[in-house]
Amino acid sequence: MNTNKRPGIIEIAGIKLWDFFASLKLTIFLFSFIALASVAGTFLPDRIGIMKYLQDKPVFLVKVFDKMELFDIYYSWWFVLLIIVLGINLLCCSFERLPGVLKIVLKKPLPPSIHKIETFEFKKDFTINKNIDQVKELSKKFLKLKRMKTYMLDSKTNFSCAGDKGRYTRLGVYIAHLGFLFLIAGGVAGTMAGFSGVIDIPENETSSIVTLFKNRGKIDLGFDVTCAKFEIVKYENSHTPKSYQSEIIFNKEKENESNGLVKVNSPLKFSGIKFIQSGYGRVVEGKVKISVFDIMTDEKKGEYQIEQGETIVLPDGKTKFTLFSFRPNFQISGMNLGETFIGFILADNREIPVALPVSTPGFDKHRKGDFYIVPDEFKTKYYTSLQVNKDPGVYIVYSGFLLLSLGIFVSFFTRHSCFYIVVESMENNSSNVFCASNSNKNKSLNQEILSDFHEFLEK
Amino acid sequence: MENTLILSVATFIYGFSALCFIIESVFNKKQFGQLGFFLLVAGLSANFAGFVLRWIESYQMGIGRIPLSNLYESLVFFSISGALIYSVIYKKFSIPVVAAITTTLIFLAMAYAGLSPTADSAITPLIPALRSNWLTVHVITCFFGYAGFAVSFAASVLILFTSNEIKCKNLDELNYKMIIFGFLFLSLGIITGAVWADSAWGRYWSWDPKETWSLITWFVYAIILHARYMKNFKRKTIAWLSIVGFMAVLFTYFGVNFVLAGLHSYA
Ligand code: HEM
Repeated sequence: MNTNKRPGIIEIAGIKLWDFFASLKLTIFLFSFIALASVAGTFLPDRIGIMKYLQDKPVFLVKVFDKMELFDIYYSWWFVLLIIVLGINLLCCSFERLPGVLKIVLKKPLPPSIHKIETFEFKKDFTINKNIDQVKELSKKFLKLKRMKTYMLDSKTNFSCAGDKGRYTRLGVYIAHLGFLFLIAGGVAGTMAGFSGVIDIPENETSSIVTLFKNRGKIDLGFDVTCAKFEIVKYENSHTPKSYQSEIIFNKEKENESNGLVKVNSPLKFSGIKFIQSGYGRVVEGKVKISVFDIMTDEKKGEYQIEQGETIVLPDGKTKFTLFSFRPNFQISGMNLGETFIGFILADNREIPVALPVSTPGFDKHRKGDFYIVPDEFKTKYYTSLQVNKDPGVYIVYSGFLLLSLGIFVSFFTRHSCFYIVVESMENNSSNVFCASNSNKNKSLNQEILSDFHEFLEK
Repeated sequence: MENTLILSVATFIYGFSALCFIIESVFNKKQFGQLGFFLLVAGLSANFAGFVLRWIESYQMGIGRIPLSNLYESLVFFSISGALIYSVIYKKFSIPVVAAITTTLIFLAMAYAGLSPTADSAITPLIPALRSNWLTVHVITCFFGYAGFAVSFAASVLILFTSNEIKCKNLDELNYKMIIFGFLFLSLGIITGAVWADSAWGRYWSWDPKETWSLITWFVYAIILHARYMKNFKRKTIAWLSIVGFMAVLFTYFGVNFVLAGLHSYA
């Protein structure tokens, strides 16, 4: 398209666009906006919570908020987009400024003329009772003392030199910025291609289904995970757990069987997926013995051995009871009932939930049915709760951490400093000295080094 | 528990140190400044001694851990870092009002630790997920960062009330130095926290409120660092931003625990 009649406009638009993305104003705007959105995110309820609160009948405003993904800000398309734009902004800013910095970094400083010295902000000139060769030697020594690399230019009556150190530290900012880009890249990669959820496995049982966080459904790992054993280590003379751990077998009795221990703070990896010990609990093992009593006479009317999920018909011949689940710590209106069975009574086509706490056998009387139910005997065993993560971006993020720390350190606590000296030979074995000092930060130190140099020559 | 006794003594010494700096600021009496500095160092010594003793006592109790894991202990460590930083920079930046504000903050942190019912001073065993060296490094780096920001806050408050150009320039330098110090340590704190979370919870970042607020704080200070490169950005604007930053620090530290809930509810 080199016959385009109006290349000017496209070019101007291009430049404008580039300037927009290479501007620090955009950076500050994005920083502020992302920070404010994050603030909002910590105060707004999450989606699951608000829907439960409104019993799945959201009001108009909530619907609007939901459309804008305000109940899941950090994973919303617009938040991710802002972060990606921040990355683009950072790239453009760097490309805009890097050539200039590289020019300084790659160029050795030139021994200056007297003229040049006068252009510096921090400079000094004085006459000294030493000949030019003495001053030259001392100057070299001084720069060496200051750990500067020296570049010089010599003639009989005139001597000029430049010393510098820390030229490469000017790249510190770019290392920090590169680190930040890595964080963005790794984070986005992790969000796009990874997952995070939890898998609960009772001792001696096997599962492969992970329940994803944030109601994102379930996925099949594609391999089996077996919990061979679960153990709790307590503090001495105390009930506080010190640590807990699970013996895990992957693909038990298959050709690529593999096993290992998952401990708190010490995860296990299998086929790129990380398993982390995140909790534990108790589940019922086998059948539960329950008794049914008459509410008026407290007389035992029946005894049953049932499994969870099983339904029985009560002695009146029509009411049905389903044993639904077991909760180690069941909370009801702020009260902790401890180990409790949960079930449903189906009577006259109405389903009524019942709670059967193990420690309070008569609790079911409060329901005021014809019968009350008491859990009698059952066995429990531990289940281990493992967090399951796949995050292909994690290595990028860790590299980002390293680069970011290094870059911030270098850009804050090191500097590039230059020192320039020009000496003119005078009569009576004396010399005129012109010197200047320059640095990219901590400029007040320049004055000090100039005085240092003067003193050094006087000695 | 002797450590809490020594730590309350440290609280009183800090209180008197703050008082001296306040007298110095109001009545312009240099001697009080020197006494204040002496007391600050004395308070720091007692504070540090209490910290070490607490560490030793935890071993005697069979728990054996560095005291850096609940609200009480983190407030004690905040005071150590703040007092240490101010003692180090005191020679170069002996600005009475800044000293007064900083020592008052240190005193308040210690007093709050000692008096508030939410800051339990008993040495208790750690829950398993908190038993990690990363956690130790995480707490130390974060609190050095916060202490740096506390001094920067003090300088910023003064900048708002100072019209003298030379004084303002000096304050601005102090402000900037404390911000970069704090920013480096906050960055390291966030990073070590992420590494710890990765090893304990399996995810380096989960947007829990405390994490998110530390990131918000980090963004505020990143804005300050970059604002310096923009034309016509005023010193007072930077001072205001630094005050906002310190409010974000406080919210990360207290607000999240009392207002929002999350993983970090222990400290
Ligand atoms: C994301 C978009 C970002 C952009 C576009 C950006 C851009 C810039 C620019 C243009 C400079 C001035 C460099 C110079 O002229 O010497 C700078 C300085 C700096 N930036 Fe960034 N930056 C970004 C993010 C960050 C982040 C996340 C950090 C955190 C580590 C950071 C840390 C720094 C530091 C430490 C300096 C040097 C400040 C100083 O020396 O006082 N930047 N940045």
